[in-house]
Amino acid sequence: MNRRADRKMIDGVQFVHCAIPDISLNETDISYRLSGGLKLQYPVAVAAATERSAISLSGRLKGVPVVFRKHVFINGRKKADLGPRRLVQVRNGVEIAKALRLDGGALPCISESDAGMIDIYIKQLRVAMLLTNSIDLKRLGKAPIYRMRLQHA
Amino acid sequence: MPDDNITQIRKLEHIQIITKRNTQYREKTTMLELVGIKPNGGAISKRDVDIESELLGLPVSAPLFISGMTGGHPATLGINRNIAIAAARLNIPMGVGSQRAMMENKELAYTYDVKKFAKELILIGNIGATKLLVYNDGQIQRMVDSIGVDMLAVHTNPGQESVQPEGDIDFRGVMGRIIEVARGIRQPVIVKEVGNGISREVAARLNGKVYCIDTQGAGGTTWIGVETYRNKSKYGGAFWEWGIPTALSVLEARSSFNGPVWASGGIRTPSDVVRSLAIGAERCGMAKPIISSERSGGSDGVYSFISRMIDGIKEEMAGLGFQSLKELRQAKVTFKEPLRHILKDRGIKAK
Repeated sequence: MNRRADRKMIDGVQFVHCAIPDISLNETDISYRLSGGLKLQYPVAVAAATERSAISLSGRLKGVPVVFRKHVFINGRKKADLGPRRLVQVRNGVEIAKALRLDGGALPCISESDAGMIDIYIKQLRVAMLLTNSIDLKRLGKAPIYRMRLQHA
Repeated sequence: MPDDNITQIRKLEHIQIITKRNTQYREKTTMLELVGIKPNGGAISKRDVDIESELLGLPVSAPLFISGMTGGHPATLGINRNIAIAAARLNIPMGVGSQRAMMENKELAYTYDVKKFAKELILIGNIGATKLLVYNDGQIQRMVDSIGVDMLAVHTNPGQESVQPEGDIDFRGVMGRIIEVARGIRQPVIVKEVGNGISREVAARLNGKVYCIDTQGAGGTTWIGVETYRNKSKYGGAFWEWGIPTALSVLEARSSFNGPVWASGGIRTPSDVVRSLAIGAERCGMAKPIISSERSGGSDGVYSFISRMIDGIKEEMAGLGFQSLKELRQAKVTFKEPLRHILKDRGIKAK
């Protein structure tokens, strides 16, 4: 599936739990490639309200991408454009996993006020990857899911 | 603190949290309420309903079992003893909690050794799947023999482990070890989850390799929730609703596993049992209602609860016109939404 993830879709979908994975949580690979070839350490961005806060936040959150008006800032510097990637608002690491599973073109993002939670969200993402037996984001993109609600495309 | 002390304390904390805090799923249900059973003609007398069955060639009075809950701390012996006495009086199989604590400290073996109170009991041992990477087949065999278990449940709990600071989060090689142990020990092996369910894909990999699957699906107690309370975890809450609902898990496992499938996880009422059997479960397990009845009424409390359950199952089957478990398992079933479209999405045909 490669359709646009939105709030309703994220809420209405569940991963099929894998009771006996073949992987270790610590070896899950969460690196994410932007269309320009830039490899991000984290597959989630912080959406900043101003360019100033984007620079300041990305300077403080080492390696975490911060997005302002389609521009991606890392470690205090503008690094790339978002290109065709779509930002999808998420509220925790399970939702990051769902957004990545539902929409191959999505870059999940969190609000500035949640930026301090990034480490917890990343841990949650890794747990979601273990529980779906997904060693990397490519495998996560194919993890079995089921829908709690009927959805009409 | 030594590992065996940590394990002992954890056992006690689990009992305290389960009996005192709300550790049930908040939104997700077992989905058993979405299963409908077509009556088999008119109602019959409850006296004509026979729900006896066999397990490993031994007679069992009802299609029930008591899920493994505890052991490993001196205070848990009384709980296990009370449950065992009631289970033996009612001729229902019983499981003990993870035997890891007695592997770490042999002096704790007596907290699981309930056959000394109930010789005829069909006893199910218990060990964590990741612990099979630590112990060899000979050690596992000695562990089960030391308390005279008839079957060994291997519990797999990646969700719960992920929320424990001391949890095992490396599952590489676990599936292979489960299969080796199932071949290597004399007792039949059951693979069970701890509240997140078994999927069709996992069941297919276990097919022909282990004796039985115990689904332990979502909708009852969430062990991720228990650990979230125990560790005041900041990230466990996002996984509170994680897991495959019990009804869906039974249907998933049933579609790819040819051996017995046991239903557990949120089984609370006679209706839950009857519906689980109608969709293909061989028997149903309970834990939370058993520990609650033991805490409030001791062995007699457990006896009364299971007796009422057995009576309720017979009443429900009589009302639907089913005289035997065989008839009930052949019943026509219907599924309400969203279970119906989930089964379609997952490519699962139920009967």
